[in-house]
Amino acid sequence: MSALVVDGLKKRYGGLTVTDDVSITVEEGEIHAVIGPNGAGKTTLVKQICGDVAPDEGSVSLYGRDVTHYSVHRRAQMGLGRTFQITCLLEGFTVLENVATALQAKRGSSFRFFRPVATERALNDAAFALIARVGLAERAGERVANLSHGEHRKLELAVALATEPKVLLLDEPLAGTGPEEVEPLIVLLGEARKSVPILLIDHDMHAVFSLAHRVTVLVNGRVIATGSPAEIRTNPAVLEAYLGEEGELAHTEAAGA
Amino acid sequence: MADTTLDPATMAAPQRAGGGPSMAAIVSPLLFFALFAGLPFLLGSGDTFVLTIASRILIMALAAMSLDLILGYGAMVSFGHAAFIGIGAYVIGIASEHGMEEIAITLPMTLAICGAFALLMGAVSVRTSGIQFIMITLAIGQMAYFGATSLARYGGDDGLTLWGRSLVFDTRLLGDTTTLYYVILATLAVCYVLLSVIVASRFGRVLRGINESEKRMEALGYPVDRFRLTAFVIAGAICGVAGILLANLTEFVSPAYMTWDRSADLIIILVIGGLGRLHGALWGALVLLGLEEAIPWLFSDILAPLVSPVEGGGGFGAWWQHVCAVIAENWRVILGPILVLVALYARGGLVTLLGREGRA
Ligand SMILES: Nc1ncnc2c1ncn2[C@@H]1O[C@H](COP(=O)(O)OP(=O)(O)OP(=O)(O)O)[C@@H](O)[C@H]1O
Ligand SMILES: [Mg+2]
Repeated sequence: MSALVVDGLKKRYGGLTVTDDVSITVEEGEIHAVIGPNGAGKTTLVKQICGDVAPDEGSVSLYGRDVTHYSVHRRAQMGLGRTFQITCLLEGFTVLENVATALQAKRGSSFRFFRPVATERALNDAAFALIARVGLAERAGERVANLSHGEHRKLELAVALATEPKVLLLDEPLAGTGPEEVEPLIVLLGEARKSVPILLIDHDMHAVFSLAHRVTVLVNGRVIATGSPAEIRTNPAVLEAYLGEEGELAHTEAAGA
Repeated sequence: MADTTLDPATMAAPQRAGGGPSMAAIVSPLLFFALFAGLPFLLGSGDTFVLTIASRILIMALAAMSLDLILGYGAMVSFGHAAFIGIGAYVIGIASEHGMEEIAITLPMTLAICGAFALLMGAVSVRTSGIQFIMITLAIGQMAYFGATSLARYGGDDGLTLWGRSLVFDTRLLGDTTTLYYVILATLAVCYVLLSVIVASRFGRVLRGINESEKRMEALGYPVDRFRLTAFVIAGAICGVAGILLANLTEFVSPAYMTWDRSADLIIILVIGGLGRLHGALWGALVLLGLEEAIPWLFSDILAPLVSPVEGGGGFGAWWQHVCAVIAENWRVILGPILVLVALYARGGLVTLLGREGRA
């Protein structure tokens, strides 16, 4: 059974069709990348999958269950994890507390009023392990407001992993991380994929083509191609769309050859 | 290598400037409670005037502290919170009218009724935010007010004088004003500890998280509205206790306890003392009610006589006395500038003056 099925999704903003009959599946064990130029509708697609934005038509299913009309938190409880393109963290909390708060959502009830949560070892230890995994161990006690942009991105990823998702939507997780930080994160995503299927959106073509099992190309809200990285690299429609834009694909192709 | 120095447990609390837990967060409430515990000794016996004022300060501190749970920690600006003071007081008043004075009965009754009213107020308001939330809570608060004025059987507009203070397990323990004062102080202390514990719990963390970013908490899978509603009910029930205490202090119950400007006072207390820090409510209440007493006294008894009018009236002296009289009567004209000063120099409230700290 597919982990995530998006079927015939449509969304219009006034006269602009931002999502135009999009169908995508994410299978267990795979990373399915969605690429496309700026404004293609990638983030809007993620928002409809998560429930932030209601689609005009179409449906979203998680492991066979239609969740199109479910609330954001209900989908999250069912195992839909995500990162935000524009970082969305608890700024006044520490790094550790951010991750622990995410873990707490899945581990036992949060309608507990008396025990001090800061002393819950199980939460803290698990949170710390995740923080170490994204390379923020030294910063665990820091307030999020004091983190650099790249550190925000890493924490965003740690928080998403901490929700113990069954499907993970990553909206440009690598954007804003320095060149030397990208490689370890690519390794991390490759590992994460073994436990959770991922829908990955990123402009970093090197990352996308080294990680993805399948790639879908979105242009002006429409899927113009879906296939293996090798197929996408040589797809004429994709090349045209991208060469018109930035020529990024041709670039990675040359680099990969 | 780093693992030996990084202990997750110590990092869960927000790091404070200078490292370690803030002294201010510990010293400030201790200082407050020590001050008020010692007050009756300073006054000597028989001075019920000051003791009554001090009791009112403590009661307002309790009401404001309960509001802090939803306003300071939950970012819900409720403009109807005084309704719970009124409802708590009316439970005592009406029960007493029917011959029920036992606090062991009326306390759980108050908690249940205030909790139920909070559930109602919360159910229609927690989904909204901003101005809409303010308007809804204001409207429901006013509903409670008008409801009380229409209780002709229980005094209507004029309010209701109690037969006596509540019985504590059939004793007239609260009859003595000093004893009542200490009971109020102890109740405040217990509620302070209770709310501190709640704020530090799993539930409190979720509430604080919602305050930081509702969107993030939804995405983590937290049903945000349910947490807000729960906080609302806890706050309403605790505020009802303030109503019980107020009814016992004044031996009188009136719709005036729940007018919208009483709700505004509670917000002003938190703004002065510091939002999202429970001990801010303590100092805020002391300052607001202290000013309410001190300003009229200062202007009518101290400043006005400094310049006496010249023979035959008129001149600067007469003008001066007139100004002092106006200020003494409208003490709130001084409150405005004070709020501005707090906003300028003590953003985050007076307790920030005691030392920088993270939110408790
Ligand atoms: N709430 C909205 N109202 C109107 N138009 C919107 C709204 N949200 C998005 N859009 C438009 O929809 C289009 C797609 O936006 P979206 O953010 O999904 O693109 P994207 O593919 O994520 O781009 P990027 O690569 O820059 O992140 C854009 O033209 C954008 O202006
Ligand atoms: Mg985007």
